[in-house]
Amino acid sequence: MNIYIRSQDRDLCKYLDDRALGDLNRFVREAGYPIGAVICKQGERIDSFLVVIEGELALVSTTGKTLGHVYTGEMVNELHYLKDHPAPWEIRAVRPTRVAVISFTDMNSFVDKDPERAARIQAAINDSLCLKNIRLTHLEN
Amino acid sequence: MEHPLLRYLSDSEVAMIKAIAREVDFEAGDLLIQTGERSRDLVCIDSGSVAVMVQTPDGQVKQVSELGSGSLIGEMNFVIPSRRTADVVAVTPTRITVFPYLGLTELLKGHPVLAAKIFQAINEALATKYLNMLAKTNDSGE
Repeated sequence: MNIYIRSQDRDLCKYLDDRALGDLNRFVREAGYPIGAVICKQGERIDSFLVVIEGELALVSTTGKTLGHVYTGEMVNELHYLKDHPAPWEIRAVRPTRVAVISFTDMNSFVDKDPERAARIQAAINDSLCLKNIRLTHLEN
Repeated sequence: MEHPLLRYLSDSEVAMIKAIAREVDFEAGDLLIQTGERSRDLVCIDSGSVAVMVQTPDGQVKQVSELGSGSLIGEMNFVIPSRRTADVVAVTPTRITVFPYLGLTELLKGHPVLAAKIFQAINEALATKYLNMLAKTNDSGE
């Protein structure tokens, strides 16, 4: 994004200061998945962000086509924070993977307290969606 | 009706953002945007329709989409700097509103509520683009 400077490692909170990050972390729970685990099935309703702490996720269509990967520090499900749309893919762990889970309800509580936080979270999602669009274009090509 | 980019703004916020914008009219056949330009301006189509044209590797010019009133152009480039990747040509008489990059970013820096609303609207446009592209990718794989 063009108006903020990155100050944190993980993409979802990249533009938050340390204090805001501390507040957001109160809402975070962690989950671990073995290699090959299915974290979400295509068509499911999504209610949380997933941020990869360690490992790698693959986004796979019902036909088995890999539509993208989510690497350490990156997020997935931001699409569903914006649009109530069923999961367009299955999410699988490519390697043993640990993720931070933040529910959309908790994220709304976090951003509702401060418009600056809302802007910085939306800016981080801007970046992530652009990256996903670019990666998918390359996949198509 | 306001453009979707402005959908979450109050009347006073719309006035604030429109103060830095400019409206431009084009006739059918006019070139609005040229491939390779470095502009990061956000462009809203207010009325009319435009064709998005790209050059294929064998040198042919191919229309990849037609966009109408309510469409947003340049949202990817606004977020991540690159050159324009397509020509945009007016199909009918067309009116656009241009939000210049520098003016818009300066405004948003000082107004977080406005920034959150504009970024959310951009995100919704990016999400729609992504889902459309995903549907095409899925179709092509089946």
